[in-house]
Amino acid sequence: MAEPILKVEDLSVDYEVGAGTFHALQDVSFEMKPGRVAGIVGETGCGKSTLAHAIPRLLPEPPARIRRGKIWFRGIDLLALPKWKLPLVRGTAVSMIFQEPINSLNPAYRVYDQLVEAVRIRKMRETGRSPVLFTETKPHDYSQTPSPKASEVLRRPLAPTLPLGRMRRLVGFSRETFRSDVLEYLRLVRINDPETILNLYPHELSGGMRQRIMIAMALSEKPSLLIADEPTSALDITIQAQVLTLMKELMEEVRTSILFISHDLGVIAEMADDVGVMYAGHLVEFGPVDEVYSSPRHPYTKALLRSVPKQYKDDGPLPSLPGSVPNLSALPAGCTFHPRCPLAQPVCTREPGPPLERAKVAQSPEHKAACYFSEEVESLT
Amino acid sequence: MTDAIVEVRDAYKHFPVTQSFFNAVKRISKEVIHAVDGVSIDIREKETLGLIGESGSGKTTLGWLVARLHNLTRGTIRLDGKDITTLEGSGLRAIRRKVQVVFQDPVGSLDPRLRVWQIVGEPARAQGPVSRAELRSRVAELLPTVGLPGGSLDQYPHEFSGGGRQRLSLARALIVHPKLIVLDEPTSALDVAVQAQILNRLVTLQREMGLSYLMITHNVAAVRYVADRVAVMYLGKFAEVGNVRDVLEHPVHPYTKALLAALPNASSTPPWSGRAPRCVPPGRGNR
Amino acid sequence: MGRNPSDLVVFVGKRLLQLVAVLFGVVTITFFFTHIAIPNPCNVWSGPRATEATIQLCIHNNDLDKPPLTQYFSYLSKLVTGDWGTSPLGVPVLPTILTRFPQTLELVFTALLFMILLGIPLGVVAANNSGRWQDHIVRTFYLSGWATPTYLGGVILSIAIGPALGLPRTGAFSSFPTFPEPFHMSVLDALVNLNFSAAVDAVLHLILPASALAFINLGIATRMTRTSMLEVLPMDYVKTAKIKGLSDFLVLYKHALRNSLISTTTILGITAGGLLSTTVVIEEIFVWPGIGAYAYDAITKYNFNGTIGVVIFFAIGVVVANLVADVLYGLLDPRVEWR
Ligand SMILES: Nc1ncnc2c1ncn2[C@@H]1O[C@H](COP(=O)(O)OP(=O)(O)OP(=O)(O)O)[C@@H](O)[C@H]1O
Ligand SMILES: Nc1ncnc2c1ncn2[C@@H]1O[C@H](COP(=O)(O)OP(=O)(O)OP(=O)(O)O)[C@@H](O)[C@H]1O
Ligand code: SF4
Ligand SMILES: [Mg+2]
Ligand SMILES: [Mg+2]
Repeated sequence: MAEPILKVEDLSVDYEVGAGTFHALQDVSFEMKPGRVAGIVGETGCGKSTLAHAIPRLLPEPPARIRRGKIWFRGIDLLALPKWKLPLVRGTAVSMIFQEPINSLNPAYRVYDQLVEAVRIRKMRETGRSPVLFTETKPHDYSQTPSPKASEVLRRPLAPTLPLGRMRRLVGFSRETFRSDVLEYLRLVRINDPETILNLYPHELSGGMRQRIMIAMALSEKPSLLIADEPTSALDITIQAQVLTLMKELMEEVRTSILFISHDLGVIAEMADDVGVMYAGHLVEFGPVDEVYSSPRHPYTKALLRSVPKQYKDDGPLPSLPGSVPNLSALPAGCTFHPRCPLAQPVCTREPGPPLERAKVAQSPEHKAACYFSEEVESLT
Repeated sequence: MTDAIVEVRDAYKHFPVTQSFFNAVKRISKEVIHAVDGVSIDIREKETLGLIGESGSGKTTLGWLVARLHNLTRGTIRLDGKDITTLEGSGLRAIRRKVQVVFQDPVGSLDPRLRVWQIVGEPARAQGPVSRAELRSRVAELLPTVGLPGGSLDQYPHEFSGGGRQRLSLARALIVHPKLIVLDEPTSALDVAVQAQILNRLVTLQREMGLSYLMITHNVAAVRYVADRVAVMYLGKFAEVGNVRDVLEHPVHPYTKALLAALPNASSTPPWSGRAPRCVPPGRGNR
Repeated sequence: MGRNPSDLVVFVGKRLLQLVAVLFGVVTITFFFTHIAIPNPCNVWSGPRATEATIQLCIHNNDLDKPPLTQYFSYLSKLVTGDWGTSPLGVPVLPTILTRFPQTLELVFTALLFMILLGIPLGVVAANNSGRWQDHIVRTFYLSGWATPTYLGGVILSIAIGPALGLPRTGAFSSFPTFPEPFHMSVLDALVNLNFSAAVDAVLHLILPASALAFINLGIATRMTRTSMLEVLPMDYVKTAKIKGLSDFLVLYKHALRNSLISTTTILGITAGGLLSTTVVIEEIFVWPGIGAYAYDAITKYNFNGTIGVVIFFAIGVVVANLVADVLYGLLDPRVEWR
């Protein structure tokens, strides 16, 4: 079994604001195997974005405060890195796509100028012209297989890439050196007329187009881990389908590890190999997506899956979960889900709450749940 | 048909494209957005008509036309058999009692400085003078029907969750006992768990109070559960109208097929790609 | 979409037409104010020992016996032909202003340069460390500049700080320049004559008055930069810049500052117009041979023609400064359409 590319241990993050302390993440632990896609689902405000931003250290501190935990990324604890080393992790090691394509590109620069920065950073690091954090011979770990060049996976022939000779290293990289690389990545995300798109400003592009450019930008740095924080939630449903299809095809091609965050159970089912379910800052279940969806081991997961309307009005009422999500500044004692849980017993209010551990009757050893009575979830109707 | 509450006949709504003052003066008649482009539909008593379609296809505009929040460019709208296409003033106010709207944005449509009883009671006030005490008791009675505690009369909207705010807008629509409620994306800001609660509540209320709904949404799953009939809108026109089971299980129009195929979880990828044309093509308005 | 360069030309053209209207208004208002407030300036112009006859002669020579409207129209018609009249002592107004205005521009530009080079980075530092000690120090610094009355700041600089640093306190040059002055801007003139010692001398003379002018207005640039940076920093595209792996410096100055400059330029444009009137005080204190000192002189000596001339140039300065700011705004923000 391959070493995990990312291992999050007991990560706890608080937001300290005037209204109080919000425990946005509480002892979250999970592992990601290289080359796999891990999905995270949960209701709004449960801490998904906080988790996504904590890994490349993008949380605004203050108000955020990392209270506890470790984020092991390829053998380095990202939380222990000094601040000045953080840019070295970002881009080539960990990259990220954000939720709102409207705001994620800089309105003042043309598409080309924004993309070329990313390509340039990668080339500088690859050729040793700027410092790197991971100095192994394999600069990126797309599981065991050698990373395919983006050009190899395209059907259409591309402009030939210039040889990266010694000359260039001495003369230095000019802006135009990377033009062909930039074009290559725009074609990779299936943009039809990249030459024109390059010279446009972000506001001249549609949301779906902008999101494609964000994806191209992230991939052009060949990251070992790509975090996608609800990359399609802000898009129209048909555009969303196109972007998801694109991402799925790209996963096959570039084989990078992806942490895919969404509140949409359907999207996760389509994209992810593993899924983590979050509730009120806790990771309550984690495991292979087929198994979690077909036999959930946490009552919340079960309720969430059943709330998706699949029936017609005359088939009777939708199964729904009573009550509402607790306030993150005043979480219930013990298992945070107990006020709404049909299986709750007195033991569930005992501190500390149930740990995330291997579910008792699960098939796969990777399937974990944070519930004392996980074996009884199946019996819930 | 006799049991139709609302009959829309051949409705058009055009918006002028106004870029600057000069353009508006020079070309007011030429450049228009065909937001609703020749639509006819009945909404029957105690039924839910679901309206689905791409963003910008004119769903909200049609809903506003039915509630007479927009004026029609052309066509007629009848409510309970009475032509309301050009009503003004007090006649329009009477319509407000029969047709209420729950707006798309639950945050933006609730005045943050008003208390719950003022917000929910507002449409009742617009109908005529009501005493404060009476209004408060009416609101207090209504809140439990939408699943909110009756004691929250003096709270402010920001003290509610997203689902709670959506319930507030629902209560506000219900206070005048309307016949039809236009629900514009009632659950789009909500997660599945909360959405299930609201959808159940909508269906129960419909049974208990004999309401009709025009439910506008992107969310096919929600429409499946709430609607009796579905209309699929594309570029201001109806692509397909029919019984909910027929449309969702045996779509006829290619756009409906593409829309259903685009749903995550469906096994196949969409049969077409590319961006849907906008209502105003680059050559603006010359259709 | 996309913008046409020709739109920019139309835009600038329209604004310049507006300038003509503004100038007309300003001239009219100033003319009637001066002539109504001081109906008979000849008592002053002719000096304390003037006889009745000389005063009458002065009144006649200056058309002061005609009805105000007639005076106004004859003044206006001369004005458009380039005859801006003379001061009471017979010095022609327009040539004087034309030699003095560039000196003021030099002062204002230098002050603006100080404001931009110091004020904007200070704003960036303050925003990036908002709520921390850096922020408080920067705020104290610019608030003290803001709170200081113009003359006091000038006097402190010229009496206390200037001599301590060995900087010249007054004038534009140490000695009267012996070379031609095509630009009437001390540094530039010295440079085109390849007289480098004079250029250094001129720069040294500029430092104190320009600092005084800049220090007072620094707060505007700093505060505006800080505010708009605080708006820009939480934006997603700043996160995008970070996640690319860019250094903190590039994230701040290339991605964030570029966008916050969009609002800062507008304010700087308005301020630059305002700086012109501030020069009245500063030039008096530092004996700077610019239009500000001339304005003071013209007003106190009832020099009507001079006053109107100065007002015209101030108005041009303000309008042009705003126009430049608007054009820069459009160049910085590609989403702006020229209207
Ligand atoms: N900058 C902040 N200051 C204070 N509290 C914050 C901040 N950002 C997030 N929070 C709080 O932390 C909690 C988790 O937020 P987070 O953005 O991680 O949720 P999420 O799961 O991504 O939700 P969504 O699906 O709406 O994006 C929320 O309750 C939110 O109110
Ligand atoms: N008040 C208005 N003035 C001008 N144009 C308008 C106005 N309201 C809507 N439009 C235009 O009419 C078209 C249809 O808009 P509408 O809001 O009805 O779409 P929609 O289907 O509700 O979209 P969404 O799903 O995004 O809410 C759009 O192109 C929109 O820009
Ligand atoms: S631990 Fe108890 S309360 Fe929590 S989910 Fe399991 S049964 Fe429910
Ligand atoms: Mg989020
Ligand atoms: Mg709408």
